Amino acid sequence: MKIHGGYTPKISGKPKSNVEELPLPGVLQLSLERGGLSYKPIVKNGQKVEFGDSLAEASLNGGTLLLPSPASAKVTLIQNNGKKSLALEVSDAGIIIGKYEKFQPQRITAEKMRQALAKGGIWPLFWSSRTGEIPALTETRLPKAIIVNCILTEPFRARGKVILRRSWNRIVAGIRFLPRLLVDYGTIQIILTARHDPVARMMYVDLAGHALVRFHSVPLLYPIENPRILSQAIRKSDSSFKKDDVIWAIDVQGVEALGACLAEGLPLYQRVVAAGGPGHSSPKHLCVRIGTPVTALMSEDNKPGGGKPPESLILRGGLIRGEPVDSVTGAVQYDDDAFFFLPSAAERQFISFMRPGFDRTSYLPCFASRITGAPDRHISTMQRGEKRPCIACGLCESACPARLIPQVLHRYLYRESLDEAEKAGLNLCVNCGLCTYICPSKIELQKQFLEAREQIRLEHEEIAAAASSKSEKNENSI
Amino acid sequence: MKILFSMLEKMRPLFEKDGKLSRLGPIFQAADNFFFAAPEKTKTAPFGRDPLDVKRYMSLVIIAILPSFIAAVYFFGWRILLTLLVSYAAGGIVEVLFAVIRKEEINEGFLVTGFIFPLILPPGLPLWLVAVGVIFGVLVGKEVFGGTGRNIFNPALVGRIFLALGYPSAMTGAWIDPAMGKWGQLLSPIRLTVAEAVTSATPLVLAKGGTLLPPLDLFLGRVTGSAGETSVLAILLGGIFLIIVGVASWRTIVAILLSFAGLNAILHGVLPAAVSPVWFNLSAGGILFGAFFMATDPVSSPITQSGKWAYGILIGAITILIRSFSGFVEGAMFAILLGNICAPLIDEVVIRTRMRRYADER
Repeated sequence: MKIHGGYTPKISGKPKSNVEELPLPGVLQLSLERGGLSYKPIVKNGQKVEFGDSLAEASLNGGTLLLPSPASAKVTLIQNNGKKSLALEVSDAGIIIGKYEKFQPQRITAEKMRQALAKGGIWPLFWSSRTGEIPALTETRLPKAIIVNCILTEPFRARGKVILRRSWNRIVAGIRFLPRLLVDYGTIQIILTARHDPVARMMYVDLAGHALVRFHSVPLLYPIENPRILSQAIRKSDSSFKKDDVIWAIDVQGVEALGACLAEGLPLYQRVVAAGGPGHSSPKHLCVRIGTPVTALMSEDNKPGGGKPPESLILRGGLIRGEPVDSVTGAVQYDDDAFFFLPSAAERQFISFMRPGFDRTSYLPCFASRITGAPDRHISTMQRGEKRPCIACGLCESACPARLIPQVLHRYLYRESLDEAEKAGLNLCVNCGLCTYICPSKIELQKQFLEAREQIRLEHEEIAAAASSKSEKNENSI
Repeated sequence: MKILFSMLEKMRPLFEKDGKLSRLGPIFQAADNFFFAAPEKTKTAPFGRDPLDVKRYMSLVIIAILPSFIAAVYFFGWRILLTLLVSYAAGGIVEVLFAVIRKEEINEGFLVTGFIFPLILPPGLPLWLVAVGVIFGVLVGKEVFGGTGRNIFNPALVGRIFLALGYPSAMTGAWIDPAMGKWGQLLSPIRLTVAEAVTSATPLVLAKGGTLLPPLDLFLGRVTGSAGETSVLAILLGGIFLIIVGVASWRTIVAILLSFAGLNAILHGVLPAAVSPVWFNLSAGGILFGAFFMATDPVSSPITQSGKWAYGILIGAITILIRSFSGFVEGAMFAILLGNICAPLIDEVVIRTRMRRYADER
């Protein structure tokens, strides 16, 4: 399978592939607003809960999603700047296997499986091509395929290989359950680096007779992990998919949690996260309980008052899509798999544009690091250049995975013609941020696109509202 | 370095918003950011950025043109350096003036224009004409459109065409014979005027009369012509560098050279007397310099990748047609300008076609 464009910057601070188990901290913090969902607490302030008890609920088109407790604890409701969260004072570190009902892949009904996944907190880890986000719980148009993605290329998200090695059995168990969510003869599409690697063969043997499995090998180029890019690539590679066939996607950690939930009766209670980047002094993978504060992910050196203090901005997610998280109140949530430590603004380098650049890597092969293969050690929160008008260099077009021409969109938006921008495919943008990352003129393309899309959405809503009120009026007059 | 930094820091308040010299802010900022990397931080995702910026992008172009510049100095003397200084000074004043008036930053694009300009002129051109040309080019070719990134024509080319049409006798009388010795013109003194210089015909003019210069002279650049365009060797060195670092669009270059050579081969086959062979046309005149350094200017060429093919084919074909069937011996300059004019049209066609595909995808 091929994708258009794409680019994975080579950055120093790649997490090591062993997974370190972190001890359970005294207090866990759960945010009640994640992934576009807003959870309402169903526990009282000060109430004691057991591992796996439901803490909060969110309504999703067609049902209720629950947020299970990752540990036995005493709950405190917190409201901070209008954002609600729960603090859990851990009383017992143990997990309870079989807290929920255990199932066999052959015996479970689709209905029961959906309920179990909604209760175990795993449903929000699915993505549907129909909604563009979480699939509705009562979705009647079943997916023709579910993509299980084992490739995460953005620096530095928890690597699929690391998780596969760590939780093979749970992942295989999870994949065995997946066909229950599909239409009859639907397929599981597994994304790996190489189709003939031993992992694919092992998986093939382990899944024989349980699921119709297809393996795809993809290049290690960001943003291949984007479900929209993946589903488009699969549609292109397989002509049996029709335009309106629904495809779902879930990543390898989601399948692991699904396996644990259905086969062992466990809720979603832990995540493997990659703590890396040039600002982290010992980048590694960590297995943490959901709600673990970000401070626990720092190495001793990074902590306030530690040895050398390289001030870092901590990004939740990878380098390109990550958003800053508060280093004091931030905590690992149910869909996190990466925390990128980006050094805060470095000193201003003397005639930096004339240096050969052994410590910098760029999309264009114009730094000396391209010869030595060295990673970028210089990346920081600096913009690394001045804002300039677009020089039409075309780098954004060559990198765009959605085959858009970002500079044309920018041109249209610059002269405020939303209509033209919409026609030029603005809504097909997958928000990967790659164009903004590589733009030599340092234009905030992603921000501009997001704002424009929001504006277009509002306009469409207004038009729809106007149209409906008009038709109402017509009815009244009749 | 530290001294320079503290000096700049001390001067900074003068140029800031309420400072005494706030109007000259762009000049200070340009100097400040020339010596030390820009201090701005990212405010939205992605929070880390690629290290490539416009400064480096433009300096790579200059590095690529350096071999041609060195060849020009070797064959035509140190006077080329003088024309470069004049070009930078005159063009720079216009650029700075506009930056100050517009209260915008000084743009790096000018450094490339100012560097290319003396290289596409006859080496013996009076210095005041160099200044007039570059001022016209920067002013009309770029600033009136809104500065770098918004111009539709290549500014250096606009200046060159202005001179070619406005001062034809000065232009045709300014060709210098290249140096033949081992040291070229490196050891001869700078001549301000070239009244005493021997002027002679360019290879393309000679070819019209039926004389083809030897390939080795053309390859090395030991022929008469615009300062930077004579040496095929130097252009290839720089051009290939530009393609390797990814700054120039290989699509444009390949399309120009293929369409030029292809049409040339056909025409030469049909009319061997009127049209010179492919090897000669490729190595003589400004087609190579134009293809590698002028047509690839990203701002004035089409912005879509597929548009670049059409653009290149157009330029290549027009060049050979002008060379073969018009009163002008050289057509690269006009062809590129024509390409610049057509670029937005080509883009429009490509974008409309794409839009249809997007509508299907939705």
